Amino acid sequence: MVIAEAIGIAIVIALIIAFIGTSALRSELKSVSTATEANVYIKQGSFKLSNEQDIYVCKKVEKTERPKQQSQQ
Amino acid sequence: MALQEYRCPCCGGSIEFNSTVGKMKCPFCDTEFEMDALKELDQALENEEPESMKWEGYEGQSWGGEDMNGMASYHCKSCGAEIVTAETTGASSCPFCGNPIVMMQNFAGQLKPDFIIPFKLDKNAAKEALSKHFQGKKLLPSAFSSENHIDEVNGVYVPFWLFNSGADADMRYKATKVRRWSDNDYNYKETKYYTIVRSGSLTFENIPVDASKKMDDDLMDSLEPFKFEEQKEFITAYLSGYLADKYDVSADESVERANLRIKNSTAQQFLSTVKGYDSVQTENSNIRLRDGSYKYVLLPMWILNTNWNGQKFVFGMNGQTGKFVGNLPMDKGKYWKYFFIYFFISFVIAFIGAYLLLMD
Repeated sequence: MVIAEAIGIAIVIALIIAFIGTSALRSELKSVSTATEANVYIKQGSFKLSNEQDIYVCKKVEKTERPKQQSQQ
Repeated sequence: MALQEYRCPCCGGSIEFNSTVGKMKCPFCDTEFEMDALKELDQALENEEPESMKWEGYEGQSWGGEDMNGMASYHCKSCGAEIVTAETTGASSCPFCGNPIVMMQNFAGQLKPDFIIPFKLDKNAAKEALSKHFQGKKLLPSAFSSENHIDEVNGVYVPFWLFNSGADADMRYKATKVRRWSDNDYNYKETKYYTIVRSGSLTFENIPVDASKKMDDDLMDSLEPFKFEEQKEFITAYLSGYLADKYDVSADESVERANLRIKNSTAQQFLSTVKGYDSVQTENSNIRLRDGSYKYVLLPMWILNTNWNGQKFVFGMNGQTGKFVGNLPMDKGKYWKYFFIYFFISFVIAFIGAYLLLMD
């Protein structure tokens, strides 16, 4: 029973690792992608903040009852 | 006068003034709000301006009679590409589709490029880079790299629009800080809600957008960046020995791609200044461009075409920096071989680990 359970767990883990490993190898073949940002084209030192406010609005407290431990008689 | 409606950050319900407590209060979740915080929020909302992504017009330079001397234009019957080069440079095949039938035609004037980045790397460098590109790729079919059937390597000046612009932005975020604690009877979770306001500006220089329909946009994006400080004023002598594509995507058509990149980077820059919170969500983003301008440039690319198993593969090398890109095919047999190797090794290790744990 323990062996069957261990085999089941090992299969799931091995499938996940094999998939991640081969996905990494597949990604080596892709070097072309769309550029969606322009961070390298920001002029050095040009980024300036003129207004910086962190406004506290409200708070909410939720409480949940802790499960009680049964006292031993 | 428009009435300002306030929404509770905790539950999303409309909040109203409660005269009993003298505060704004949410009738749905009973959260109370400090009037000072709402005043600050009002002020921040008033300062927000509408988004605007407009660019100034561009007149460009036209070709003079002298510029056109010694220039030749070729037309590919297969893909429709129009290629410009010096008369002394023979174009034997189309750099975009590889078709050998290239017809010479009269050079027809179009906008003259404002600048050019000359080639710094030669054809041999491109071939070496291709060999390096194949190295270390475990799933690459052996036949693809051994039967290296790259027929022709072309040095092409690809037309680009370069966009320069300042960007002003007003950003608003909703952020939370969460604190948890317990006593003997209860677990507590306190969530503090904040409105974060950021305004400011930044400047973008030389955002390139490929102006050729024949060149794959993603391939061109992947060959960035270029060192624009090395750009030179355009003279036709730079074309000698190379081909040059004419632009067939106007600046107006390209501007959307530049705008998207500016918006994303501006948003990233401002978001990076919001620190110390457990969650941050963008509530409002207003980005306005100012002093927008663009110019027309030619950028150097080595283009390598090949066909393999009926599929076309295009590789490119940045002719200035040597950056090499191009997607490669995958050997399915090798994929499954590695899949089973990884599976077998991890299965053995995981089985031993799981067995020992379950036996405890």
